[in-house]
Amino acid sequence: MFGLYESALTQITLGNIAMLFIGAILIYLGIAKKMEPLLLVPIGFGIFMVNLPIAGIMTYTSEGLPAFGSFKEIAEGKIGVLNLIYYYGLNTEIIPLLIFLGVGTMMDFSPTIARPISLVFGATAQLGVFVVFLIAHLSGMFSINEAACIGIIGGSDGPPTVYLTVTLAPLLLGPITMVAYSYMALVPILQPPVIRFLCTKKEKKIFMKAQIRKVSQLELVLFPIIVFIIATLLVPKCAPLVGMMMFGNLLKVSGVTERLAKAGSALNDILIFLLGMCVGGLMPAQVFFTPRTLVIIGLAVIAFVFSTVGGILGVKFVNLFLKQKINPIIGAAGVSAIPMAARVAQKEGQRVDPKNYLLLHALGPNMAGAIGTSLVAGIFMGMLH
Amino acid sequence: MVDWRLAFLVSGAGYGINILVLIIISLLIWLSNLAIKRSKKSN
Repeated sequence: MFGLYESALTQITLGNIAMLFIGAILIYLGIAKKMEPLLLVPIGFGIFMVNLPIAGIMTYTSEGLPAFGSFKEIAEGKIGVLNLIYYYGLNTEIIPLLIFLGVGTMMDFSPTIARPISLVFGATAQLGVFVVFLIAHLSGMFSINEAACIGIIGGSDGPPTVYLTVTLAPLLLGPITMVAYSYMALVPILQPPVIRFLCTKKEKKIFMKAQIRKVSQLELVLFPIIVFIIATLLVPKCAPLVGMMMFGNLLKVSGVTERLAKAGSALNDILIFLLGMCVGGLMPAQVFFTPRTLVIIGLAVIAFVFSTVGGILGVKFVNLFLKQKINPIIGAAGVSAIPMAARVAQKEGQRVDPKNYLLLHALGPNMAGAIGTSLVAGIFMGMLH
Repeated sequence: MVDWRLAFLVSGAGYGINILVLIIISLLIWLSNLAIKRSKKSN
C-alpha cells in the first residue's frame, strides 16, 4: 500500500469483514454472556487469525482444507502454525480423544449409577441425531457422511462431534463445531418450549426426592469398566471415545490415582484452547460463507429439538411400566450439554412445583447422553466409514 | 447422490442399536448394584 511493505488492508474482502464480525460476536458471547467461554473465546479469536489476509496463520488447499506441511514449510511461509496444530492434533484425532479423557476425569456418574434406567434416556435422546441425519441427506445437499456429522450436533457433545467430523467430513469441521458449541450454550432457550409442549401439568408435578441413593465406591469403579467392555464389544468403533472417557473416569473414582486425574483435567484445559483456535482457523470467509453453512445452522435447531423430544418420550414410555413414575422433564437432560440441560430440567420442574428438586435426577440422563453420543459416533463410523 | 435405502437403514438401525446397547449396560449396572447390596447384607 505504501510501497515499502505488504499491507493486508487492500486485500481484505467483505467476507473477511463479516467473519471478523462473527468472531467478535463469539468473543462477546463468551466473555460478556459467559456462554461456553472456554471454547467460544478461542474459536472467535481463531476466526480473527485466519480472516486477516496475508497473515498466513493457516493456509488452505484449493478444496478449502488446511494445507499440510512440516516446520520447514512454516519457515518458508507456505503454511502457518495452525496448520501444524490441525494436522498433528485434529487430523490425527488426538485432541478430541484426549479432551474426552479429561472430561472423564471430571464426570461424576453417581446419579446414573443410582438409577441405571437413566442410561436409556441418554439413548432415546439421540433421536435428533438420526432425524437430522435423514433430513440432511434426503435434502440432496449433503453426502451421507456429511449428514451424519450434521446430525451428531443433536447429541450436544463436542468431542464426539469433532471426532466424527474429522473422519467423515473434514471440510465441514469448522461450521459444524462452531454451531455445535454455540447451540450447547443455547440449550436454556431451545429446550423449555419443547418441555412445556410435551409434558402435561400432571407429569411435570411428579415429585422426586431431592436426594439420590448413595453410591458405593465399588459401584463407581465397576461402572466405567462395564460400560467400556460392553460398548466396545457391541460397537467396536466407539472404543477410542468411550475408552478414553471411561479411563479418565476410572482415574477419578479409583481413589488411588488422584494425581493422574488432576493431570487429565489440566490437560483438558490446554487442549480445549488448541481445539478452539483450530476450529476458528477452519472458518476463513471463502469456506464458511456457503448456503450449506446456513442450512447446517437451521438443521442444528431441529436436531436439538428432536433430541429433547426423544429424551422426554423415553421417560414417558418407561413410565408405562413403572409403579413409581419418573418426572419426564428429566428426559430432556439426555441431550448431554452437561450440566446445562440438567439445570434446565431443574428450572422447568420448579416452575410447576418449587419444592421439586430434579437436578440430581436429571444429571443421570445428562451423563448418559455423553455415552450415548459416543456410541452414535461409533455406529456412524462403523456403518459409513 | 441421495441413497434413500442406506440413509433409512443407518438411521433406523443406528437408533435401535444405540438404545439396545444402553439397555444392556443399564441392566448390567442394575444387576451389579443388586449383587453388591446382597453381598453387603449377607456380610
